[in-house]
Amino acid sequence: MTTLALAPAVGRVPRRSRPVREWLAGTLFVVPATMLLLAIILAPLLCLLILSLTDYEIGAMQIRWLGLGNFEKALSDPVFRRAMGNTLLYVALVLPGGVILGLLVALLVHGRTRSRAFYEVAYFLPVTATLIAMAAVWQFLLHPKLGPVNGLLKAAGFPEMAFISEPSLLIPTLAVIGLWNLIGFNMILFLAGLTAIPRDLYDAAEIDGAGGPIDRFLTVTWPQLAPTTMFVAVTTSITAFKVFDTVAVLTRGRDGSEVLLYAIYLEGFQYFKIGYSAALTVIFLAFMLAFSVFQAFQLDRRVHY
Amino acid sequence: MEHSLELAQISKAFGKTGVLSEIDLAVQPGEFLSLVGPSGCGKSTLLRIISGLERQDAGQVRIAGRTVDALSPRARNIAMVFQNYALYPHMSAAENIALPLMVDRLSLFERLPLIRHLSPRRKRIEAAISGEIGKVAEALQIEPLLARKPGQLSGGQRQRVALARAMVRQPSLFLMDEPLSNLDAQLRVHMRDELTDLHRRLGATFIYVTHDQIEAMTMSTRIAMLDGGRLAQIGSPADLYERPASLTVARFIGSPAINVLPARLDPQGHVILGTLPTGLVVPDGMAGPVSLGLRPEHIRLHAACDRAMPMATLRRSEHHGADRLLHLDLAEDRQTGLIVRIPQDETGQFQPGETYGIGFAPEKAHLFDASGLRMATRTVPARIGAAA
Amino acid sequence: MKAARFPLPTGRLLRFAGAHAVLLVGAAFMLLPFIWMLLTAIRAPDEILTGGLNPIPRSFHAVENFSAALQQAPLLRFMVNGVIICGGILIIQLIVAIPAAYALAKLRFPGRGLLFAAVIGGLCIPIQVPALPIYLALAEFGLLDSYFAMMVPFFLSVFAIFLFRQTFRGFPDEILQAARVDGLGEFEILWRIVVPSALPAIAAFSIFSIVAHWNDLYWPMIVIQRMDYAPPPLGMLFFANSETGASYGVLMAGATIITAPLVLVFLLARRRFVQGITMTGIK
Repeated sequence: MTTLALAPAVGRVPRRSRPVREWLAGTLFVVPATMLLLAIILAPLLCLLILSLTDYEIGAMQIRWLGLGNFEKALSDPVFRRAMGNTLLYVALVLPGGVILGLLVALLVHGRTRSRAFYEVAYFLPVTATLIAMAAVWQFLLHPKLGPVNGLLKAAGFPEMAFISEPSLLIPTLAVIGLWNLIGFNMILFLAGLTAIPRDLYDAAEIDGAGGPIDRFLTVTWPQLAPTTMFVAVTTSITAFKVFDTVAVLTRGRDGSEVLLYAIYLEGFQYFKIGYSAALTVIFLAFMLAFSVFQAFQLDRRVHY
Repeated sequence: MEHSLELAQISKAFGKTGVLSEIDLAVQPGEFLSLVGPSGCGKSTLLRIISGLERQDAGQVRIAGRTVDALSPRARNIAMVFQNYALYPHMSAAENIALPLMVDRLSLFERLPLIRHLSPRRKRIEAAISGEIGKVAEALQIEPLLARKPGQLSGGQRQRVALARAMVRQPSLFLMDEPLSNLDAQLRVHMRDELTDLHRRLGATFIYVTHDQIEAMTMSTRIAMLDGGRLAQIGSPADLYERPASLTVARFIGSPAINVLPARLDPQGHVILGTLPTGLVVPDGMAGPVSLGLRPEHIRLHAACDRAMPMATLRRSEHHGADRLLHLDLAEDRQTGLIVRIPQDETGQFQPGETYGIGFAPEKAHLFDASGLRMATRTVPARIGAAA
Repeated sequence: MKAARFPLPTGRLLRFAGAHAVLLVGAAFMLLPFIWMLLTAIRAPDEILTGGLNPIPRSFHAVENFSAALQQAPLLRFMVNGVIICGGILIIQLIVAIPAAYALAKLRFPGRGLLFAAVIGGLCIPIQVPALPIYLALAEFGLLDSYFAMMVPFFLSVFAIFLFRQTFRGFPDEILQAARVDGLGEFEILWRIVVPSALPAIAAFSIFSIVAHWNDLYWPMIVIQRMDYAPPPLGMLFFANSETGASYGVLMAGATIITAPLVLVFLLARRRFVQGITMTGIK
């Protein structure tokens, strides 16, 4: 080793050669993280998988091995099926809305100079605000008698809408609140993507005659934003799939608003059917992994230059 | 004959900083005009104003006799090659080249995704376009690259695709914004050659922005040098080299740079270097400090000096192939370095550490006044070093 | 400077007006809940019950509503809890993640690839997945209803490790070599040289972590039954369900108090927030 050969010349002999030192330091540095990784992710994950195959309930005398019984039960359980359907409907509403509106707002805000700060604040404020508190505000806004939304509807000659009691309106209402909470976040991501587009390309488009707004968008902006859009779409899907807070405040999972996470919460932490809740969690995890795998696959095949 | 490009009194400021002031310029058809100058001199802004990407605060742009100030870049019938080529990364080379023609010949609806399939004439037009792409690609020898995306092309290949995209519209004016600056040294020399060749074949007008004076000198028919937002000089490469209008031009053009020696005018208008008359006279010149510019190849060193002449000590001698560059320090003023270019075969006479006398032919010297402007001179018999 | 763009000024004017019109309508939708919350928080109960659309309150009832909110629920206590929890989580996350990220980025040691793979895998696992087993373990040891219970699942942030690893990787190796030649130990190198250069990433992650845990409801809802330990969102849930006497004025005053800290921090440090989001990009 060069270090060893040179060391006597400078009058200092290192106690250990570099690879060993590095080896030790590296191992030492990752010990806390590795232990926590085992304790709060890997071990619980293993437990979860095992529990999902049992009928464990808190307070039960004995545990029975069910195999895939919990999953079979879930598939035929009308509550779970409604929760799954509602969650997917919620994602189906929030995903396109969140991406398209986030992009639209970003495109419009990007062109502003003096008013940009104001719009950034206005659209981003819901992201920072505690959603639980704001959900309570929404509840009041949508109140059939006292809320200004129904007040406006009535003033415009429409009938009163029971946004948070009519079952068929629950998911759309939750989706609007979800969008309200999410658009600013997506806007910021799109703005970052827009800023990264080289100005040269717009100049070239202008010289080539593609300088109109639609041409600019189709020739430069949209293709250049493709990776950002993919990323935003996946994060939006994941966020939407995890809808929980607004349900907990507004409806407590009552008829028409059952969603997956709330079902897991109820089964596991209210009814203490640990085994069944674990099985639902495994299904939830499968969706999360699917989104992530999709994203990793997409990230792999982007990049033009 | 109509000018290919005419600029009248173009001025531009960004906020309170003036970038260009009152630029006048006329370019003949078929010229290769380089816009040169140090960075920040406004040359790129001027090019963007010609292209229509930027709008001037005052003045007029005329292209082929037509005032284009109200026209969009597209309507000006120009093409531009960018420093980073600005190729659309998601399109193949062929699609990149086709884009200007597509925009020209198809309506917006015929270019929209999905909807475009409804147009009956689209196929026919696209076929015609791909024929034209083929011709341009052949001229630039990039046919094998047409299906590739910019990411799969080397710097030189991207450069050619960008040129093809410019050529395909057959514009009356080519604008180029430092197109060679991202290439490595060897490729740059090669592309210089290709660009000059292309210019000759197309017979079109080129406006070429560069900060590299060698590019400007080797390629252009004329050079316009900008300095601090003003047009410092316009002329052929030889004009700028042999009769620089100002000290800035003299220093910018030529490599190694011109030697500038402090001198003064005596009340009779004689140029005095140190204490010695130089043989240069400025008719009705005012007494005061002036600058004397000497190109490295115009200085002669004398080993045995029989009469008074400025002395300089040889510090270092550099091999530059056919030539040798000698770095000297002036004896009375060690601050002023001096570079002399001599043919390789004269090297043996000069040794580092030795002191030599400096001589030059007065008609080769350039004289600038205190504000840096060129002064007219004539020569009189009393000359430094000339009698030797 | 933004370049003046063609075509003609009228077209530009029209586009300018159109953009502002759309943006203003959107901004009104985004801000409406905040505005109505503030307006209701200073309204008298009888005025709220008539359900009018009048934006300007007829009488100023703020003092009554806010003091009632603070009396009915320990809102300040929730805030203090929030600060304790977010602070505790963040400090431990940084202490654990920074050395691990440095080791993954710059040091060779056995098991590095495996650990990194586990970190990447961990990125796809939200808290809801290990929640059940961790809950059971905490219950087993009698640790429910404590600050520790609320913090423990978040002590390890695989996201922090990932983000810091990416940042540290960009750090020039020559500087590390030079420091080693100068006789610095790995820990000193990390602490004195690498960490100061990564402060923007650390700040971005801190913002991300604080916002996430200040607003988190799911986990506190599971492990906390006693109000003394409730963080702001859970406190808000208790508060919204408790007998506020159908007084929406008081409820809105409470919501204002709960949302104020993060909103104020955001307004004061908008640039940092935006940077944090763009750097982390994960919610």
